[in-house]
Formats: sequence, C-alpha cells, structure tokens
Amino acid sequence: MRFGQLASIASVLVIFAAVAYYANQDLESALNQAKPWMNPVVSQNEVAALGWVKANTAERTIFASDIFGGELLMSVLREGTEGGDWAIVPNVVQRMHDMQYDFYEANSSEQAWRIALKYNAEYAWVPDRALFPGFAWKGVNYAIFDNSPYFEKVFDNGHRIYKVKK
Amino acid sequence: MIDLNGDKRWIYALLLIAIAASVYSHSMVWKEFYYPTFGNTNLHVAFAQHILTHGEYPIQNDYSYGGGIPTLYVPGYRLLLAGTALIAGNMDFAVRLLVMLFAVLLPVGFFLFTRELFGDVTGVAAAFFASLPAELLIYTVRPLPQALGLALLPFAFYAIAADKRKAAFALTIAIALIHQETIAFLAAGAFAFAFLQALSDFARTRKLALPQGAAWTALLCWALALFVYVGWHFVATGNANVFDIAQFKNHEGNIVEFNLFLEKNGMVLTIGSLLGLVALATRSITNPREKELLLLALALVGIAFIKNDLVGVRVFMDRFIVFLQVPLVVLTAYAFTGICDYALHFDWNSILPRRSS
Repeated sequence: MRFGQLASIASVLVIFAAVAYYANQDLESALNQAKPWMNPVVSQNEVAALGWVKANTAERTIFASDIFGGELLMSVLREGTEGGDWAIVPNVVQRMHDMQYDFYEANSSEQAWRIALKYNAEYAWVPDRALFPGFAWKGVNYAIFDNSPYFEKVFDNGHRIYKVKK
Repeated sequence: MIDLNGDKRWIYALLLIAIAASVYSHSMVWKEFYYPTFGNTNLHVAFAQHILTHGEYPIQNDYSYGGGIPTLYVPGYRLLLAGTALIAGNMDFAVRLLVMLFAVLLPVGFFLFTRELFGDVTGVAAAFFASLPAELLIYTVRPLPQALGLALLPFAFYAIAADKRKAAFALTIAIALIHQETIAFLAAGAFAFAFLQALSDFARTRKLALPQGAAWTALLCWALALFVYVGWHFVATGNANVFDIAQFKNHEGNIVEFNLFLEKNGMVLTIGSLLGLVALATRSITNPREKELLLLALALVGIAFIKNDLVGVRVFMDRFIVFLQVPLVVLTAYAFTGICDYALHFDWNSILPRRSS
C-alpha cells in the first residue's frame, strides 16, 4: 500500500477515534443528566394508596395535594388541588402559594382546613416523601393533620389520606 | 475497502446499530417501579384513561389544578396513548412502550432527513449523533407529547426537504395536534426556509416571487400549522389569543448561557455543528442550494428561539435547546463526513519532502 493510501486511512481512523472519544463522554453525560428525570418522585405506598382511592371515592373527587400527588391522582381520574397544566388556570400562582405555605406549611390545623375548603377538597393527600407544592421541596408536618378537629385519618400505609371535615 | 455509498446493506446495518444505541439509552425508562412523572406525564395518562373509560375527550373539563377549566393541550399524544393502552391492556406498559417507539423513530427520522440533504453516509452519521445530546434524551425518554413531537419532527423536515407535500401536510397536522412548542418550531423553521429561498431567488433574478418546490411546501406547512393550532385553541378556549397563557405571563424558562448550551449539547455536537454551520453558511452565500437553506433556516430559528430573551420575549429559552438540536445533529453529521471526506481525498503525498533530481 502506498503512503498516500495509508495516510488517508490513518487520518480517517484518527478522526473516528477523536470523535468516538468525545462522543463516549457526551453519551455518558447525557445518560447521567437523564437519570434524575426517571425518578418517579411518588412513593410506592402512595401508588398503593390509589387502590383505596378507587374503591372509596367517586371520579373527579378533589384531594388537597402537592403537584406530584395531584398528578398521580389524575391517573385514576381523581383531581388534586395542584398538578397538571397550569397554562390557563386562573390565579394559579396564588393557588400554589396557598398550598405551599397555608396548607402543607400551615401554622395551624385550622389554617390548612380553610385552604382545603377554599379549593373544594374532600380529602388531604399526605405522602411519605418530600412534597413540592410549587415553590419549594418540604417534608411533611403530620402535626397539622393528626388529632385535629378538622381532619380525620381514613387511610394509612405510611402514606396517609385524611378526610376534610365539613 | 467498504463502499458505503454503493452498497446499501452497510448503510442499513449501521442504521440498525444506531437504532440499537438509541433503544439502549432510552431503556432506562423501565428501571423504576413507576414511570417518570416529571413533566405532567400523568395528566396525559388521565386523559387517555378518561377516553378509555368514557369514550370521550373531556375538552371542557381538564383534570389540572382542581379541574373545571377547558383543556388547552392538543389531544394527539393522548389519543395515541389511549389506543396503545387499549391494545397493550395496561397503562403503565403502554406509557413505557411509547418511549421505545420514540427511541426507534429518532435515529430513523434523522437518517431520512439528513440523507435527503447530504446522502446516505451523512444520514447514518446523523442517526448515531442523535443519541448524544443530553437534552434530546431527557425530552424523549419521558412519556410526553413533546417526545412524540420531537420524534416526528425530523420526518416532517424530511418530507418538506423532499417536497413530499402530502406527507409534509399530514405530519404538520399531526405535530400541531401533538405538541405546541414543537409545532411552533416547525412553523417558524418552515417560514424561515421559505423566506430564505425567496431571498435567494430575488438575489439571483432580481424579481420578487413566491418560492417554488420544497420552499412552497414549507410555506404551506407554516400556514397549515397556524390554522390547525389556532383553530384548536379557539375550539378549546373560545378565543384565538394563543399567547394568553400562564407560561407567557410568568415568563417560564431560563436564560441560555454558553455553559448550559455546552452541558445540554455536549462537546461533539457543539464543535461539530459549529464547523458544519460555518461550512454550510459559507457555501450557501456563494452557491445556495434549496435543501441546505432549510437546514440553515432551522439553525437560525433555533438560535433565535433559545435567545428570545434578547428581544424581550423571555419564554421557554432553555426548553427550545432541544429543538435547536435537530439542525445541530444534522450539521454535526455534515461536518463529520465532510472532514472525513477531506482527509480521504487529501493528497498526502504533497506533504512528503520532494526528491532532489
């Protein structure tokens, strides 16, 4: 084989090797960036609770929920106070603010209860995971719901559902 | 030596490997106990479930934020999901199965579009490069309308480039009914292509005229996209103001700086597409070719979309990176095969020292 042919093949191999080296790094980076998006966020107990929801509530029943809880409930044709497409929802930012600070982070059980009533929620969705009502991730404060004259626990497998008293 | 241009079997064998690579990277969707929930995936499941349960599309009563509002979202993906779940018999399986469909469609679409512009070898290179960008993977590995829109987008551009008018119209209507941002990119890209072609014709003939051929098809696709999407918006909401949504009012989206651009595109796509864009723009100035103007138009529109904050729009800037990646993948493949071709045909003997006589 002559020098020209050898050089041609070698140069293409060098280009392939260089591109393959960086492509491998890019692919690795892409996979690492995509993996967190695979996190279902919702808990296994929460998904299991859908069985109770289907058996004990009517379609379109509204639950006071965070965004991920509300969207999980939609999958069985119930509704959350949050979650879904916010494009044309009136006062949607106020709603997020209410659910974040005056429901899940309420100072009192009564304050949370008033917010649940404001959005026609019949139940409160209280998962065993971090919550995201629109502004920040927060842990659950069970004290708002337990031993309260405003809420009654109706389901508990780790994930809890409370009936909002009228 | 292997003759890639002469023997199609090599091309299809390589395309199969590219499809396998795409399926591999998308297979992460099966790894968790529940399908991905980021991006409102369950809202679309709700509509699919509603269609299966009640045999109707609840256009006036969305499930979002306590319900009671009309649904703005276009129904295409939800109908497909309902049909898939009906056949599969299980919503969870159907949701993840659709991700596998996107994984297969992506390299095939990029192959067809790029092959139409630059031939088989560049086409197959694009099929491989389509697996590299992080953003393209992030948006197609989740069961979302955007993923289906993105998977169909290269097919639509292929149909426009090849001037296959019926297919281009069908894909435009389908994408308009699948995902809003995707149809916005398609419509803007098609319009920019028609404009560039008209400009190029004017520079050549010094006469103003409507574009012909693929550019005319593109212009019709732009009009069709507008008609179908605004029509849907009107039916759903009773008004035609498509910008009267929370995302615009609240300026959803982040500014795209170079670091973010590099992170989402990777080294190969960033450098490769830059080389490809410079080469293509240089060639298009001196000798514009219709199909290549389409690619140039898509790149320009993509850049304008991710930097829309510069003109005060400030909506979805970072979310448009993934659409810009459609032309970037093709440009990278163009640069890669161009450099390989140059190296193969370079007269390497000319660098040897000359013998003294």
